[in-house]
Amino acid sequence: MSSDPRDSRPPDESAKRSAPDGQLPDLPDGVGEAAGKMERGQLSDEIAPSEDPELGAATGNLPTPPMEWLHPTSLIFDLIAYVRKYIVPSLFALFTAASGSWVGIGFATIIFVPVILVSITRYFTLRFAIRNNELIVTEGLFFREARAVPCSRIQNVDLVQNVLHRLIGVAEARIETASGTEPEAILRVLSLAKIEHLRKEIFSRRERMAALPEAGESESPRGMPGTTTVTEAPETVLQIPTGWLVRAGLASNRGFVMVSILLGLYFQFDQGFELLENWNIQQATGWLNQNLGVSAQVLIGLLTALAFLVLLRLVGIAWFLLRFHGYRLVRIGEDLRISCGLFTKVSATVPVRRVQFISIHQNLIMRWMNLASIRIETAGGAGRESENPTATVARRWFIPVLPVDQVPAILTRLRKDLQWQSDNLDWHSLAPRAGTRLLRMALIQSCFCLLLVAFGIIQALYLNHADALFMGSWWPFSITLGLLIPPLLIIHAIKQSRSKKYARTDYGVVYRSGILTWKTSVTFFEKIQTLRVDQSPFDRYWKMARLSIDTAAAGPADHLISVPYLDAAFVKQEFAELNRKTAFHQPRFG
Amino acid sequence: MELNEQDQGVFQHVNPLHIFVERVAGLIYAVALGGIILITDLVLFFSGMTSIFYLVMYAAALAYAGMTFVIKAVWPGISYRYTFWRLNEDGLEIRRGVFWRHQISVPRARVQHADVSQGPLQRQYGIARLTVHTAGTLNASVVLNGLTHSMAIELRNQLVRQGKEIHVV
Repeated sequence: MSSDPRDSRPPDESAKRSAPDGQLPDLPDGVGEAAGKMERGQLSDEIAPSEDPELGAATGNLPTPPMEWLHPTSLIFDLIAYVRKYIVPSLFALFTAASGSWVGIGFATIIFVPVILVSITRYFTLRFAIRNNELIVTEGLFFREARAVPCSRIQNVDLVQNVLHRLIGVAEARIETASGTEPEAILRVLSLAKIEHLRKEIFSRRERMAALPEAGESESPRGMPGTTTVTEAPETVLQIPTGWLVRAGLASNRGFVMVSILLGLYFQFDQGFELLENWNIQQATGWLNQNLGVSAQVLIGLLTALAFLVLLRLVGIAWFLLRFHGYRLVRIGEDLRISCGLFTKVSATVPVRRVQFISIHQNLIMRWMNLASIRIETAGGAGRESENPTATVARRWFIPVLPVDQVPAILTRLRKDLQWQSDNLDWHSLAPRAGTRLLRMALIQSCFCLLLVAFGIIQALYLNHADALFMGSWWPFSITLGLLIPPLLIIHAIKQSRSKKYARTDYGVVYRSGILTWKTSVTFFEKIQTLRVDQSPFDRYWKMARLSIDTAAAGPADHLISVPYLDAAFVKQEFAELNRKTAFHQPRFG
Repeated sequence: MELNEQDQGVFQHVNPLHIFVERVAGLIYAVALGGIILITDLVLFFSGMTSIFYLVMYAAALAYAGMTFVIKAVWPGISYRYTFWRLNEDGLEIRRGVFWRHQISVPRARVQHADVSQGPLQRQYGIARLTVHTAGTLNASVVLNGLTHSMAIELRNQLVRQGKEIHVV
């Protein structure tokens, strides 16, 4: 492998810095080093030109770009961002202050004044510029912090635009690199023109730097010089019509998630200051009991349940429309760019070369409608559970909904060698006795359920004497549960043993699992980080083993390649084979 | 994972001194635990808690400490017999586990960096622990404890040197 500057670790960056691309070194070398290591407080005044916006003019004939400021409205958006981040205490502070009590006003002061001060400081101290092929961001009043992100390492310049942003014509820019879980820098907020300019600057530099060493590498699999790709016209790969989104919303459980979040908030507030104390459900039910017959009550109950279900689905549809309205997937050069959103518009880049893991999900309802969704994992995209808008769109919901027959075409876009025909794969089912084993486990669990039935019967027979033993008359419930669960367990065991499948292909590994929600995931030999085989004592008794494959950034796709109950001999052979393939297919390009 | 004949030559045990070091460390822990339990028992006993129930509890606590002592004395030897490693052109492979068996393989090109660390007791006997870091998520670091210190350094150098010029993700 030839060494590629994109790959160089920080100590080697001096080599890249002297890359002969005609850029003017306007920073002293030592300062650049310090900035590269993101050291705090070591910044000399020369590169903290907060006081000299006319630096470019001062240096005379050198066309050095001056350090730029954020958009003035940043002050407001910064504040809003903080309030949103700490929404519960903020709302609490607002409400208590509005009630006029001194305690409330004091509380609000404690919460809001520091935030306002921080926002003001951030606005007046944050400067950024592109110099020496690095994006430099300086910030801070007492502790000055300068970070220099080499353009070659920047993966995405993602864009988030909510309604207020759009009214003013600004957006939030998130600069992402492969490292870490958080964006390398968040520029909140910039005018759209400036972001487009920044994007262009960064990507053109990145391509230029990438093109330099690869020119000599004739066998480079993507030998085309980067500069040509920049000028290529964007090509629309996929647009999602509203109809699909509505169907996806119908199919998803998103509504359920949203409603439970709302309920959670409600209870949080309810405990906070008991605003909604008068909302009294018991009174309503009491009224119902007094004035209506049993059948009417049952009817009302059923109707309420039905209405609730419809509401959940509607919320799901609303969520999909809000998030993904006007979804467009565009190819620009080698990367894909997604833009979507009804009120809050998001534009995110998918660095195609860094896709580690592709996962196709289909829940039960989606299968009825012949739809699927595609999730991907890219290096550095291993966000924590928090759903920041760009990560949500670019990874968790790469393609929120797609007719099944269009999946292969999209996958080929992600990787040219990925000819997706899931039926033609060399599928390996679980070990032959896996069904027996799972069934036996289900039967053992069923015995416990039957115990429940036995208790119920005993209680029913000796109810008069047994009040003290078994609290109240629970026996109808325990008997029904005890009789209902065993069949479900057995069906689950059988389905589970049939649903998991594993396949090895020319490019990597495919794993399918799921009973109600089918998940099919693909990863590639050069993306596999470690291989692992686990065998419990039970596994050894049944001559089985679990094969696990670890990739970078696992998480957003919500599926792991970890195949249990495989035949031990097969796993042994497969482990050796995968080992060889993984070592052979070295990660070539960043 | 049980080894068959063809594997035997390739896979290696860690340094046998590791058993001794682990045993000593474990026994120190067990003795300290037993001491604390004994003192607590005596204090409680002489402060008047002398009913049968309390006596049983004291005995149980002491028995627990004794069990810990025995396990700490025996376990390192057993665990040693089931720990193997090998380095070949593909990468590092580790097998371990007495009841629950694990087998992990880290290809050379995926090694991000590797650490060698030593505890005070390990330093005394020239034993070290090698930690190999990858860009992965679930097995982001793979540990091999009980290597000879020089061997650990050598392994680290071999693993890191080769992975250096290659993209890892």
